[in-house]
Amino acid sequence: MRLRGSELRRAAARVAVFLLVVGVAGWPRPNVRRGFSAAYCATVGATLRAVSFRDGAGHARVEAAAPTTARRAGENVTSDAEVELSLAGNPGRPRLGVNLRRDAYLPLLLLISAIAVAPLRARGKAICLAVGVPIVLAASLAALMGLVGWIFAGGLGPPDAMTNKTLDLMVRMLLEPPGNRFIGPLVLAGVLIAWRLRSERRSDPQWSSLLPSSVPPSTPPESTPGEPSAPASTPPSP
Amino acid sequence: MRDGDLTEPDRIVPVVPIVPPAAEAREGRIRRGLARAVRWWHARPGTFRFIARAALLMGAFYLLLYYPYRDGSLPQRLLFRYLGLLAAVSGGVLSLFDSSVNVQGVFILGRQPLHIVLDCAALDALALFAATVLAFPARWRVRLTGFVAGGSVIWAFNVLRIVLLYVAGVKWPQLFDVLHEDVMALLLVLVSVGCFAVWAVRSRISAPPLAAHAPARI
Repeated sequence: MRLRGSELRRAAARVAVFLLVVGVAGWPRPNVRRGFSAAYCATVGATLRAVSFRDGAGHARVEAAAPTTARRAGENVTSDAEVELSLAGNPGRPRLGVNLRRDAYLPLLLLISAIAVAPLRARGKAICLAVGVPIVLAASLAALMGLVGWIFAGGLGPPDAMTNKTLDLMVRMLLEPPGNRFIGPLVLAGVLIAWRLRSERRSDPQWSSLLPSSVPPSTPPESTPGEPSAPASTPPSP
Repeated sequence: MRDGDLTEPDRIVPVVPIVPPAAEAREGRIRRGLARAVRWWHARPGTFRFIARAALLMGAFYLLLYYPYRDGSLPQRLLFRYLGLLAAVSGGVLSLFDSSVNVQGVFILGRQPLHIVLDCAALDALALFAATVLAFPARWRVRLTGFVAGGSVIWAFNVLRIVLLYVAGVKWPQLFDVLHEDVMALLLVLVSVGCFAVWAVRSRISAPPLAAHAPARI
């Protein structure tokens, strides 16, 4: 497939709109941060109470808190929510600041913005959002659960205090790299957009007529290795 | 002598290795399973194959980079040297503007001390870029050129990120954490994705027409 100048210009315009939307909606505003944190803790975060750790002895809950712009002592992120840990038989309830803006708001914003500017019909965008938003929210909750499980397994102690090596490796690979929170939603958006684009093109009679006669429109067209599956004479994207 | 009598002296009996029937059946099943898997793989759309290859490569890179290596092991020493190099380059750039800056190992000391750790090294962005470029169906020379060029851009952007964080820490300390946690990490990933997109489009534009060559199949 060769890309034409007009297609490149259209793609560049979409990228510019994407960056604009992310820049405007992602600008750090305390009231947006506080509102999102409250909404998240009341809905998605509430399910954290139902999960137990350390064979049922450990529990956690996440609550919205006043956003901070500087890290507090002993924490390595600014926070807009706090995770409270409790362990049966232990009177202490340590609290840990978490940054839901970074862990949930920005990933959601990236996913929604990427889908919004994608060359899809409204129905395709709605399907992508219906699939993608729950996945991103579930991933953010899984990240919170992973963090709590890691702490209960000795994650904040010295290296030899860790009792679960697999969990330690997962946390190091999935939670520690700061870019993962943004790579995940972008990759998810890319996969969903590619899926819907393909299915829209297959159902479009203009595209179906371009498929080889041996390939029924209901089956995926045979793609040449190294080339996207679209026919060589690609019409402009919708 | 009757026809087919095995004791006939001049009869040639082919030597067949004795394979237990169960082992033979198992081998056949494995061979058929592999052939089916290969057929299934090649019947998938190109986009699917690209995503699957990139995900596998990304997982391998992450395992290599973020595995909790023992203290003093070779990979840990190599990663530490890499962090030291990043600190030295960033500190060198900073010392052009601020004479109080000096570098000690993985520490940049000056008016805003910075500790370069694994999370500061843009390894996630580099791994994403490397995985997508290496998984992309293009000629190996094009891939290697893209990997070196894009990797250099990401690396240079990361040095710029550290310099900007130092400047923010000195001039606008209230912005430091927002820049460090949200903005710069996001920009780094967007630079990585952007580098891949530009490279992929360029490699498509410069590729000869389909009939002229058969692209590599991985």
